[in-house]
Amino acid sequence: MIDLASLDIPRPDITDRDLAGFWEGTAAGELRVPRSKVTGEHIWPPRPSAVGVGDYDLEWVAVPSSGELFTWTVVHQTGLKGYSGITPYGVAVVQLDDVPVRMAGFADFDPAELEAGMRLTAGFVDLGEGVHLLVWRKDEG
Amino acid sequence: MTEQAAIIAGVAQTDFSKASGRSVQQLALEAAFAAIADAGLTPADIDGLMPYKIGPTAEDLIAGLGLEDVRFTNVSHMGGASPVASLRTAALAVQAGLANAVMVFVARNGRSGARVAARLGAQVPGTSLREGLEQPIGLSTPAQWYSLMARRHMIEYGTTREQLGTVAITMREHALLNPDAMMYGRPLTMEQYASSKPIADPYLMFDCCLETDGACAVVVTRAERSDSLPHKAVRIAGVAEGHSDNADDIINRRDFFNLGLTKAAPRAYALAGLTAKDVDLALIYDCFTFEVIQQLEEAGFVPRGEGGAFVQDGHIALGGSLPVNPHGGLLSQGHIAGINHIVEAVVQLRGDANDRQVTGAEVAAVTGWGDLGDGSLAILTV
Repeated sequence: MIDLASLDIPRPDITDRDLAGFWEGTAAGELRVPRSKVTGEHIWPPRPSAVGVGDYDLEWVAVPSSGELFTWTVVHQTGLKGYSGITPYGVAVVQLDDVPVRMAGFADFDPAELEAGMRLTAGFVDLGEGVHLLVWRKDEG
Repeated sequence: MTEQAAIIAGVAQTDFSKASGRSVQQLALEAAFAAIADAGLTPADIDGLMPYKIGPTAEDLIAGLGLEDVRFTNVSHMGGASPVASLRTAALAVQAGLANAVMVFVARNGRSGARVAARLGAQVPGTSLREGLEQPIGLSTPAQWYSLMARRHMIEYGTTREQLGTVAITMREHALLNPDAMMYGRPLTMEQYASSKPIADPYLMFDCCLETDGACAVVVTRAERSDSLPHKAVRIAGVAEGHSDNADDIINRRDFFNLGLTKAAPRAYALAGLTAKDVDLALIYDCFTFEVIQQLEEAGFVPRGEGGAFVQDGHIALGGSLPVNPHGGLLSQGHIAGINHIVEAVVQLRGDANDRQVTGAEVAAVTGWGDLGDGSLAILTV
């Protein structure tokens, strides 16, 4: 595992109006996604309205924090601060269990172990100042 | 459409290099003057300008060309899909009488000046998603985004490393026939390909397009001028744009491989009254190797999932059933936002492509690919 908290990586703006609910969730150790009370749909990535419907009164709900590896990349070259010093690293796209949502996150293990369909579980890394970053870890169970 | 079709009357490109030693404004002017001459026109005939989103502006060319009354300008915001989409807008402008002759142009010092990372911030849609959800997890470049699609295609359809390599090598073999290509005289073997440094696995260095200093310009005018041109007129038979589902986010497309091109292609063929089977050569926006395979599928040349085998079987090489990018493409000729594909299509359709000429080329398909999968397709004919 890599201690992302020790690196000066790009930090998200956790006050972004459309994304703040997600960051509140990661701070609480959950993956949260906006859902429309009108259509019942999960809206990911987050948008200000239910897709195709002018429904702005969305509720943030917890979704499963585990799923299967859908696709990935192994980054060998990046200009992103912090990350440029730890290449190669994996970025995993995970199809969450039970909901039609794919979430990308830093793969917190040796990228050589990335394998289609592998089970992954969300982890949350405290970067300080209220930022908790989603990372994907191998299911130990 | 046939009666009112617009034509491409003139094309030009500067030399392509890693270090032009000139300003982008000068590169744009060089291409512009040359394209105007190629069309048998004078600068005063140009009354419409369509710049690229990044680079020299319409005002730069109005001043530099000494244009007294430009009455039509427009900028397409579809990244690398813009030049092809601009052909349609230019055609509409001349057909509607808004302008007599519209020049589409791109000029960049893409290697020695603002390279791709620097241009990206000003260009890519969904900025808050990029900055909020992607950059913090280490994801930030086109090579990385698109490698997610390539990897998934490998998982779902069995597309292989060797098939990606075949795209790179085929483009290089074409460039060896093109003295104007950046990679002219520099052969590439499968071994060299496979051992090149990884960028965003599965993408290796030779899966990635070049970064180029240079410029291209294309002059569009009305078909009724065809008889007075110094060169054979190339008809803009049909052009369409399209946008993938979930256009600002690659990761959550339900149909993961749908592109703007998936939707644009049937529209463009219908406008032209042609089908994919009628196409003699294809200019595919080869920003990366897999994108050639994917666009061959989404443009209807081969069913989805079969693009890798199609490439491996030699169909896209000169002499194959569908020669792709005889100039060497963005992978081996140079990368001027894909407008160099339009130039090559015109050169081929005129029959002026020398050693790399596709025999009997009468119908060319030109794709554009931009940002997170915006797409465009032009069907050009003689």
